Amino acid sequence: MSDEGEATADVAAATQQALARRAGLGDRVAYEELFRRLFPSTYRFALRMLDHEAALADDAVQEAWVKAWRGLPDFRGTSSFSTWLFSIVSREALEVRRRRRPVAVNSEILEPIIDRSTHRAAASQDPAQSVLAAELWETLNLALLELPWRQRASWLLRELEGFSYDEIARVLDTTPGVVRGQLHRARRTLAIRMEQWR
Amino acid sequence: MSASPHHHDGSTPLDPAAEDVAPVGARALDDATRLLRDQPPHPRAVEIADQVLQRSLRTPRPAELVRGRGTMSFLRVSSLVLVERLREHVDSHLDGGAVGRVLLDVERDGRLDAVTIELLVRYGSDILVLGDRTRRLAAEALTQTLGAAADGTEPVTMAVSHVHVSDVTVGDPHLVDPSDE
Repeated sequence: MSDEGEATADVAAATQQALARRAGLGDRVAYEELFRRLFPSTYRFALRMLDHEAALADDAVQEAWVKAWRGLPDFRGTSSFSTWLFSIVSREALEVRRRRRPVAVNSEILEPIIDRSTHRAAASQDPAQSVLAAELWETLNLALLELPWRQRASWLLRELEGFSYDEIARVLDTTPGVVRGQLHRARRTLAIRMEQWR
Repeated sequence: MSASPHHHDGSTPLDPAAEDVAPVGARALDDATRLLRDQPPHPRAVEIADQVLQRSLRTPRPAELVRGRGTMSFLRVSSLVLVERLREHVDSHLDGGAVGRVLLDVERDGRLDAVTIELLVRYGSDILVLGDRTRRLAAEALTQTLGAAADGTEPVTMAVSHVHVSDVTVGDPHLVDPSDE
């Protein structure tokens, strides 16, 4: 096998942590492998956090991966690489959103809106509303757009990326207890939306 | 709606969450989540991947210049290049050990004073042998990159610190990290 072939096979068998260590030492092949494995997930996360606005997601992931490359020499492996990377993506997505949208929207502001719709959902039994539902996943897409920032991030990281509560807490710079609460509220809201639109 | 007690941080406790409020919705949510999880990568992610990769790789990392040695003293080499050459040379010739970290001690005038290499060692390997071999490999890499010293001696202090010896890898340390195990 050629040296290049050996290097390719080598990185394909390596774990993310080993690849991150090597990429931090300047190994571009290792970095490219990390990128190949994780870029689609980071883009999916950024896109959903930024309300499916592709231009914003482009900016967020671009900046995040630039910062990841620059920051890798200081990555010590105290958390998993994907946790570290998604914390950068999350910060960049928030930054992009702040730059483009002067009105900050946070969980506390949106909470009453969700509570109001919860009451409506509980009160409404009109089946005509249910038949308006599109494809199941489209319904979920719409419901996700309504979630406050942290709830949406927690839900996406848990359900789509498979992160633990501890890992989500690291990404969002909070505690596992808060994550648990955010996920609880997110699931409740999403389930109500799914039922309402079904 | 079921009343959920709230903690002082505003979070709710455990998670009968959705099922209590909207059992049909909870089942639909599970189905929709599975569909979402199985979606192929977004087309835009495929379109811009190469551009993002190349741009990130073109982004410079902080570095300093290291002076060449002997007849190569006119040469200045980026510390990034030196670290990568050291890693590549040691990793590709060392069985049972892998480079964890490389620290360069560079004088103000650019002279390389010392190199410290932290090794990750596979369980059962002879650490002293690996250390000696790493010193030789590192010296080779330095000569290839910076040139030989004028008097033929090795003017650089070579320290190999066996970090993670108490946290060795069971698998090949080139492919796994102690934190993986």
